Amino acid sequence: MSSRFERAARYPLFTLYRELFARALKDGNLLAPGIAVYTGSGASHSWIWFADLFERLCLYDISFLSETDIFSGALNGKDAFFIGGGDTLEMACALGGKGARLISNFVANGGFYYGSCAGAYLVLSGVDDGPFKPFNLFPGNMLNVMKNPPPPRCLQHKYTAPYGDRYVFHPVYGEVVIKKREAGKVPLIFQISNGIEAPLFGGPVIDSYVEDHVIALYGIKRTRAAFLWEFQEAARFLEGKPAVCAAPCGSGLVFVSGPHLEHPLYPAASCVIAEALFAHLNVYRSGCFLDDVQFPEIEFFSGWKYSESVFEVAKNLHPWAQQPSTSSRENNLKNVIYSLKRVLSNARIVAYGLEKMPVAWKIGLKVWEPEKIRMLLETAWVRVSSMSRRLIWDSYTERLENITEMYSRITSELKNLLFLIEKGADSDLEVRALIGELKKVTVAFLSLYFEVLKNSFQCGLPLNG
Amino acid sequence: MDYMYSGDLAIIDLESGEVDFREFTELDDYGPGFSSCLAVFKEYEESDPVVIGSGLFTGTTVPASCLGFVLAKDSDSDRVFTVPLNLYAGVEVKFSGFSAVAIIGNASSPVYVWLHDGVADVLDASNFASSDTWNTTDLIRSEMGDRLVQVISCGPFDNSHQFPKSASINYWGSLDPGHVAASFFRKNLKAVAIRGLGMIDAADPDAFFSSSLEFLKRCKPENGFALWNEQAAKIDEWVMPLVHRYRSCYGCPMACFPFLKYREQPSVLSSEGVEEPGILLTAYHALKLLKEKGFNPKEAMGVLEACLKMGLEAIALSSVIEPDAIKASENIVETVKTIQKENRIAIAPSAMFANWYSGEENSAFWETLNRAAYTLGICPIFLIKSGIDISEFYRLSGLACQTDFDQESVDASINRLI
Repeated sequence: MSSRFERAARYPLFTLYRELFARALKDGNLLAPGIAVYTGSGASHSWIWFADLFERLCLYDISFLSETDIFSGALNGKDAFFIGGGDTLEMACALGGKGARLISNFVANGGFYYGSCAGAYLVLSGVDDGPFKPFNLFPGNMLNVMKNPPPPRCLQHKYTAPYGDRYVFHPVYGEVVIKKREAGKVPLIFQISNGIEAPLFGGPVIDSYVEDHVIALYGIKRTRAAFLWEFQEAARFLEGKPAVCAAPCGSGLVFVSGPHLEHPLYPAASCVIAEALFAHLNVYRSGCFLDDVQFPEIEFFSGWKYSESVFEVAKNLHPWAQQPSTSSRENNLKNVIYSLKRVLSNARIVAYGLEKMPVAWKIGLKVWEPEKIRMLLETAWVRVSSMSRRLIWDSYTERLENITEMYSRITSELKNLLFLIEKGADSDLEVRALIGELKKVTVAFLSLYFEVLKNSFQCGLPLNG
Repeated sequence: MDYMYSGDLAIIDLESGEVDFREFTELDDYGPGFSSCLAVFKEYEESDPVVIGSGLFTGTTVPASCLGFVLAKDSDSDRVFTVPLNLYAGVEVKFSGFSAVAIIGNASSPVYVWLHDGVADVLDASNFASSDTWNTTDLIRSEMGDRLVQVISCGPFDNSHQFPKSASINYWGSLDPGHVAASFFRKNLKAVAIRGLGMIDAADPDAFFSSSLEFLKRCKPENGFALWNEQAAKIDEWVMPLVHRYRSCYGCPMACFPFLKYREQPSVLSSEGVEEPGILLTAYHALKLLKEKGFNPKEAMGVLEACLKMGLEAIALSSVIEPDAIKASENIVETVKTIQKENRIAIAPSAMFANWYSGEENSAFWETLNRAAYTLGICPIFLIKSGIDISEFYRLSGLACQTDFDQESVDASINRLI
């Protein structure tokens, strides 16, 4: 059985990067990076897509950080930091000047920063109104801002967000094309295709102050997107404008993207992140993998041709992979996992029930629809079976029981939410609390999950996928 | 079988409350749908099993692929009896995370089984054991937080077993002449609730998808019981003034079932706010009896609604109720309860498959048709009425699961077991 997600994970070029990182983890000649993902205030549900990305890339040293964790020095020793979508203002306020300094230091010392959507707005130097001022890692601005945006054709609630005396606006919501630049060096994926799809959910149209920092440009298509402007108007605005950019910053690299390149259904787009991360980290740390790449110049793998032989090499990288033994699984652990499955299933069934309600909540500047609640639940659900095959250590039992208890509370809160909505009562406070709890338990689950993956991989169990 | 089914076979022992899972190897040994579940039924025959399963195409893009089923013991003969799970219940079985489910043994107190995403829970039903099927459905759906939960239930546990009961699918009637409900009562099993958010995959999904849509293009949408037979067509005419809409089962272009509004204006689309404005008719046979006895359509609806709520077998009740009893009644449900207590009726003799097409219980045609229907997971009425030869549906099996089935191989499998 395979889902759209599983099929996406098998995207051939993506498999190559996965194999490269797997080799890094296996033999230690290359760097298997320590990665941090921002899940704190202002982060929407989209950070869960990073979990998919890293799992597919065999990157298992993952920490999910709140602003408090960052203040406590959690970025120390990490190699890469990822911020996805959400409420940029809330993020900037929560992280503040202290957070901005810590992130700047992290990048200056060689770290890799990837920001998509809100994570991109946050670090554009031209976005400097009030709380945004300390965050200026990338020399550029946003183009999708004006005083009086024209009225939208649809999706009014997604259309604008205030920015000083102006409004950030979004003429297209959904799938766009990112196209290679005519000049300059490009990621390997653009040697295969001139344009690849990626989802744009309110991310910036970037005004890069340095032309060479531009990696890919926007294009639009008529399908799989909502046009808040007339198609022709949207095309005139977006076509050919920078969508993905990267710039050296100190010893590090800042990578910003309007579209969510990390979205799990867009593996071709994710290849761009994978390649940038691999090239940056391995040139920076070991300098031995690709002779023709010179940091800080953004070279990627342009000297490496797409050929069958590359894939043959990639396919044969895992002679050690064997089926896991099931005999070592403890009954106790099996029961704990079954209980977790039970509460997760119950929670997602209620969440599906919620999706049939005509309801959405605005938390800060971010609109939360019921399906985002389910997506957070799905993050754990799709991994439970895989985790159960790898759980060979009893020491995880207590943590799993705690997580199960947390999901059980989430189920009760979801039922209460459903009750309130059916009654026509206000549910803003309840949903805010619920989402906070849901983010916490998702972080707890994913942290355990990646720990299990890492340990089981080091014990010789095969990769996921 | 690597395709079209997902999850294990669950064996739920109500006596011990334990649930075991094992690989559903019968799928490979006997083929999809009915035959593999029949093999499970035979294996657990001594434990009075209720086996729930679905066909090869159930829940897919194949037109009318709505069909799941419940196998239970025929109360008279101990042979297997098959009740269809139509509307949306069969589809939920397919996506429940189980390839099939066998419920064995008897619980010591009322329980219900909750099947969801590969998890099977045996839960206490003591506090609603005496509820009617409508309240049972509402309670379980409310508890699980989703109105799409499918509830197969029986009426109030009242220790009166002299009158045939019938299992319900949510609020509406199944075609159970009494065997499934009798099994539920023996087991202290109030209900089986099913919701699945799982997925299945075809071996060649693109070709399977396009081929199944081709079938759909060849079908002509039709409405009403007239699809079933001429007698049923007459019932259509009789109840026409009360018809609010026709409803089909999952994925079917033929909407057999009329929803009859008799407490609101049927000609008005929107609801006037009446809590229970009418009922969905899922069979016509009882109605035919009531018509012959001189009931008017509204009175007949009242009787059938009472049967649905109380989980009573409607044909049996219709055979003993008279119009005067209803005319004099202030509370039809209470009247029906009294009639049920005062009459002793045996469950009607049954062949292997519930019959709702021709009325000829032992028709060889119906049995062959049902063997195909419960293997493929396609409604037998659609198989007759679509104009598409059954062999064409069988030919989809290769695209679905890389194994080619035909009527001969299906018959051979079933004949090995009966």
